[in-house]
Amino acid sequence: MKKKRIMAILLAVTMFVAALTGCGNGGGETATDSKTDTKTDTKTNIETDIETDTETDTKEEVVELSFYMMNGPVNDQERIMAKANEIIGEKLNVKLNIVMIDGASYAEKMNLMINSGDKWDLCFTASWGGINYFENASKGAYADLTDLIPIYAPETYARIPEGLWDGVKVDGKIYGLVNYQQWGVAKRDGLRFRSDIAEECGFDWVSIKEMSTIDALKTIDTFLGEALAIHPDMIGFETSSNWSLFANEPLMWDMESVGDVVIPGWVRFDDPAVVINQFETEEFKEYCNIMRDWFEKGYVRKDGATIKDTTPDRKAAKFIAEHSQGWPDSVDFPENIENTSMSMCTPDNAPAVAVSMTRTIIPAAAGSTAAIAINSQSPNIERALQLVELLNTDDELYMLITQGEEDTDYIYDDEGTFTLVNGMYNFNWNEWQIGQSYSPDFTRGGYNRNESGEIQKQAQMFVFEADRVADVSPMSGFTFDSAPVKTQIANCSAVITEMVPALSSGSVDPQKVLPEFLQRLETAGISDIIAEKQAQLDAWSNSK
Amino acid sequence: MNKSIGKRAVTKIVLHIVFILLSLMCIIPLLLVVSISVSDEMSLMLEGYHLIPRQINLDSYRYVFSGAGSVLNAYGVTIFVTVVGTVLHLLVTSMLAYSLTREEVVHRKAISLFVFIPVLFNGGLVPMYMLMTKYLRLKNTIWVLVLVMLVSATNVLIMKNFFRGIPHSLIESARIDGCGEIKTFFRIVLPLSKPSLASIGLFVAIAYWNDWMTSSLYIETPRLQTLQYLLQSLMNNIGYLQSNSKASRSIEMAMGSLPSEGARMATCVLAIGPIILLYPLLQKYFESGLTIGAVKE
Repeated sequence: MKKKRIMAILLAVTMFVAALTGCGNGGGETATDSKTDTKTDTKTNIETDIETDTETDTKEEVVELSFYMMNGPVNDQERIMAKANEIIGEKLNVKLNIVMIDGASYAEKMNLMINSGDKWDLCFTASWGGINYFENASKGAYADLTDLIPIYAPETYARIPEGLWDGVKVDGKIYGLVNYQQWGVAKRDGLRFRSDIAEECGFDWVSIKEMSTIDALKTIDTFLGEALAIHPDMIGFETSSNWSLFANEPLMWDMESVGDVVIPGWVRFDDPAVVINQFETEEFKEYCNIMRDWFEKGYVRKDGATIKDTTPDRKAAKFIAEHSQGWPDSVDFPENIENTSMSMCTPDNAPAVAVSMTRTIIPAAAGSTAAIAINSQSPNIERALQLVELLNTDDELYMLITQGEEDTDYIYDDEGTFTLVNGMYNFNWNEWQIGQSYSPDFTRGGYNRNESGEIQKQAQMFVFEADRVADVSPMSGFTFDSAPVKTQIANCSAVITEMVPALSSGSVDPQKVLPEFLQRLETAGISDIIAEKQAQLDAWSNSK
Repeated sequence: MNKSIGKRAVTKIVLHIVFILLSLMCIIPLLLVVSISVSDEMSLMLEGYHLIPRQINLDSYRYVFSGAGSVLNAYGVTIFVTVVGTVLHLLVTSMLAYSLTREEVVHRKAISLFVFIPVLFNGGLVPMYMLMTKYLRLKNTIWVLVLVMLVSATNVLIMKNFFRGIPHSLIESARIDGCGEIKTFFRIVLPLSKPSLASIGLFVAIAYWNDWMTSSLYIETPRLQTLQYLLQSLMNNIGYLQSNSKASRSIEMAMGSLPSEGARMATCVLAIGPIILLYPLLQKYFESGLTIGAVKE
């Protein structure tokens, strides 16, 4: 009888405790929160006691703001956040809590939080990766900041070229704060070559500049032939099943995508009012012919249509020529370190030169590539906006959060090179999520304190000037609503995923396959997509 | 006579060969994974995968362990969740299943329906998230990691069928001897169902061990992250750092080449390590679970 009693009591207790864990741990959590609160409070108290000049008699409640961002695991986060919150607490009476979510599940988690009405204040947002900036903004999940920005975040607004703000406008209202980065936004694409091999073959790479892509490809034809004769184990140009020089790089062909880049329907820069099927153009036909020619001559991989990961080839320095986004290029600014080596290599094993060929453009998606949004349900929208302004103007705070403390987390070695200390605080190079890493006097990044640092600053100066005068993409501020043609898009995507890699890598004969491809696109409904894009584009241009 | 012996020998040899090949197909990839995890990154890029590493280098492990978010802490969390979760799961499932097999329970059929319908029609992710965070307020606690997989209707079904195999006369005789319900359950029925408990327990333990989704959705503090989630986010981090040229250059300056392939395999080894080591110990229970079909009268 006793044992039965004990058993019953034990089970009841287990169930009771299980039921209580919800409240219990909720309390536990606030206990740890108040612990860190008292830590920072006592710290600021000690400081004010010592200084006795900023005495706050009426202590407002410290508001806690959560900031969600994508990041990998971060060492020593508590130490840095404690220091950061000292600064933030002093200036704004706010406590910042940065929540780091793993990159792969970030989009899902944020959307889940938005859809289920969970509490959050600030988050990193973008129009790629499923993070759905535009959808969430139109749903009303993000706060409308248009009127608040001039009051609470004037600097944030003023530092960025005006055109970028168009990129985050939905129906004329701003829902996100653009994170302008130190490497600028203007884009200029081109090609990159192995400089040592180019010298060997006497190839004049400077001549490629300002050429159209077709002409450029034809010009390097002979160069590749000679280069491969000398180095037969190398590969002339990169091809893979998930990237095509035509389908993924409209800028190289002086065209701009309308909406997502792989959905058919691009416009030419010379005629931005007319939407065309990019695969019907002369350029695509010539491109396929050239790639086929290269395939037969052995300039590209035989399995270019199916291979997914070209990293091993890149790391092993096997490419002679590749697509490049580095700009300013080696003609205008030869010291630019971005261009001195092939991708994923060092200047020692694969020295390179890059040549830009396209026009300078601020891409339509530039504004919404990285932005901060504030929850429209947050009780502290103004405070959150003030926090963003602080992050963007207080360089010490920004450097603290994104790089850590000098001499503990990063050091400038004897040569003045900026190096992160292994094993200490690291932000995984995600400073672009938490604020603008651009500053007019270059105080918001880990610039080397030596000549290469100076060169980098000069290169960036170049870029910033260009940003102010570059053409803004004609598509800035336009979002394509794909709902009316969803099925056609799905069908066309299937055809494109199947056939474009094969055509782009030259593995099939374009004389036969290209007409077939275009025919299949017709059946999949490509004309509907183009018509829909044209209609939406016209409506948007008329309403501007 | 000779013919039949010859035939038997041949069949034996053939069977042996087939099973040896099957085992090799399972073991060799595993050995390859271990070998890659201790290989030097450069030799992997240049020479590819080899069963015996060309150049041994423990950088991958060093990178995984030095990387932020203590892996050891994650091990602790995961082990706790697995052990507690499995025990609680078995307790709840077996109690539920047992009660559903006793005819004295009123509305038995209705309750069964209530338990089994969610297998087909699930509420989905958003309602679950709202329940956990808004109403139960379990976000960022360790119990959410246990609670999400606490009961599985399929397991209840399996146990129910098992309990049905226990002769009713046994339970009646226990009742006559003066056992109450709880004593009958814990003293008589559970010891008889050890094999079934062991099999289900193993599956549940593996499910808890491998679960990373719960951690990614509900856990925001680094202290409470589970092992799989941490390893996965380390891998994603490596992938991201590789694609970011500035980052990879800086890391390469700090520690030679970024050990991506090796690190991937190292995380694999770390993730399956404990399970592989535990399995031989539990094997005898697993075996008997498979062979015992029905209780013999």
